[in-house]
Amino acid sequence: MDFKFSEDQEMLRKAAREFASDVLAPRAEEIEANDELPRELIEEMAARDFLAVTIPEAYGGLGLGHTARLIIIEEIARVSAAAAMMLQVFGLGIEPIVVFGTEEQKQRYLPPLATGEKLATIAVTEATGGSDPSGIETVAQKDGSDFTLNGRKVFITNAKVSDIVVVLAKMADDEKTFNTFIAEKTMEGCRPGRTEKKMGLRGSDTGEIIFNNCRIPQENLLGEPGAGLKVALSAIGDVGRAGMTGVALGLLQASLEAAVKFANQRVLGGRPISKLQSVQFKIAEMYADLEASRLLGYRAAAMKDRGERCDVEFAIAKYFSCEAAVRVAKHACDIHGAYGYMEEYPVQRYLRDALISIPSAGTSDIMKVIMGKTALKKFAD
Amino acid sequence: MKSLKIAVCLKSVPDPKQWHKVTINPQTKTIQKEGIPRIISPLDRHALEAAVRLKEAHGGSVIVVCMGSPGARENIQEALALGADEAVFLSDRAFGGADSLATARALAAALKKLGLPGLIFCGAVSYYGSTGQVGPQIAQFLGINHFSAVRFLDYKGGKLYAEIVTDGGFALCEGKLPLLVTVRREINKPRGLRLSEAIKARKKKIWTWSSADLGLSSDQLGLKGSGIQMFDFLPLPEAQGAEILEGGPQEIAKEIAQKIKKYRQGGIL
Repeated sequence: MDFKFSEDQEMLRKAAREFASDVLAPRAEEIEANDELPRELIEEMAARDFLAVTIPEAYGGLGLGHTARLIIIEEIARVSAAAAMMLQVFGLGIEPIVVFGTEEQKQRYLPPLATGEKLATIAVTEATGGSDPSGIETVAQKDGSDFTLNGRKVFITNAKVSDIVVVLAKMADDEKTFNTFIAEKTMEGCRPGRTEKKMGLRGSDTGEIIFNNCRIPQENLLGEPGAGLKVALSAIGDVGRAGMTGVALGLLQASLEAAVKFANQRVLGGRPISKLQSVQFKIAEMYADLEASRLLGYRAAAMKDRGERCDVEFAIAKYFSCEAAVRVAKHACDIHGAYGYMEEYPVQRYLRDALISIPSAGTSDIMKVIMGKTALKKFAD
Repeated sequence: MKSLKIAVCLKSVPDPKQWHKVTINPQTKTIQKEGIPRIISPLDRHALEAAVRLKEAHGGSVIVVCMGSPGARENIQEALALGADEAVFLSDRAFGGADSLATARALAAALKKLGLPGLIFCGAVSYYGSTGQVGPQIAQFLGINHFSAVRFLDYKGGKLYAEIVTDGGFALCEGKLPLLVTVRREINKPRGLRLSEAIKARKKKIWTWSSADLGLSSDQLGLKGSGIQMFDFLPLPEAQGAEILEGGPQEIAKEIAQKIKKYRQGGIL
């Protein structure tokens, strides 16, 4: 068992860290204040090939796999969880096309996504809830050889900035049949709705996507007819959980770094508070949470890259790292005392950002359902 | 026209953002920089960018020459990802402890062995030694002209036109190749690392040369070949006293301006 990253992976981390520290970090507070990720930052990420990571080489991507994607999301989330979230959900939008797309769909959609000329998202969740996709109300009506879509998707990341939307709908004539389609914002009847005002993750474009008699041609049906749930959920599954683990890892690292810096600088009773065992114990717990999360996340990503089944491993990684991100950001705020509540220190942002990692791409409770079922079977006599 | 052969001298330095982690061993007087990530010395990155842009505009090739400890290899790899075509890594314990003179001697020997490139780029100063001597010394060893502290350049008809920053302003110069140029940060905005280029760079060649490859003896290199021996480090003296100015912003600004003028006249600033 080798726990070392390859030289190539170290170089990818370096490239991502360079972007994060030199380009993104000086604008992190601006993103927070304006609640917007400037388009030029997305373009810069595209110019550095961050959008091409999991797209196969044959379609203009780099085909670097999921460990590489996790490294990049982690490094970007360390500076801006909102920017990392853009990348995370972009990955969810492209994965169903990569896995289930026809050759024609891949040729048509993937190259402009690899260069960042176009942006993608996935639209599954509705007001009925995200944990039960079969409960959605968006319907697709067969219309000659085409489909007409009607419905309203909510909490969609990249709702406004995306050009291509992979969308799940149930069939109007058969509520138990689901299909996934590739919609484009240029199609009549496909538009963003309201933008959400969030407690955290400011700068991440979260909102509705509305389908109002949106006509989708037959050739934009993704995957086999009736396989919609499988197509959409497979993207949210491994890739979504991997991405949220990456966001959590970045927040864990940022929280720990901020806490150590403050603990070494803040003097109480004539010595830095880092000399207090109560603070050291918090730092120790944060460190253990970071390392455990990292091991879980990269193990699952390595399995994914080897083509092994890793849904449970990603469920464990996602559950543990996102819960840990909240714990660790809370510790970081506590170490900062009242300063931890003030906007001039970033730890309050880390805590607000960490909280959304829990419901995103499968809540902790849903992860526990997966883990629990697996454990009950695996460890039975 | 002959294809343009450009060399860039690079130094690998501890990341300046983490210099607070650098410590000095009080016994040996050596700088402890273990565990601090290494980067391409920032002005050398501008030098590399200038070289790569010239290559992109006029054709030719860019070779990086770097002398350093084994950890510098990752920075060479980075330079290859940023557009250099190949690299020479001077890696040998005999190079250790070199001052600017011994460094320039080794780099000059490597450049000579490469067949003297038409253009050689360096950063005006490194972020570590900050002497600004290595570039001009290399030119001296090679017997070629140099432009130091260049903020703008243009290459036309086999000649290089440069704006050189001087104490009082800047000078416009033109020069024929071969030429060594040291650059300031104003010259360009270095490109960011692209993942696709980083992957391609893995296939580019890094030649590793030792002192024997350069045909130099051990007393010409490293600590022995240095003109300066460092025997002590002293901390900067702490600032003496402070004057608190009172009044409105305009009054205070006026008073500060007067004081600066006075100190300048007195040669203090």
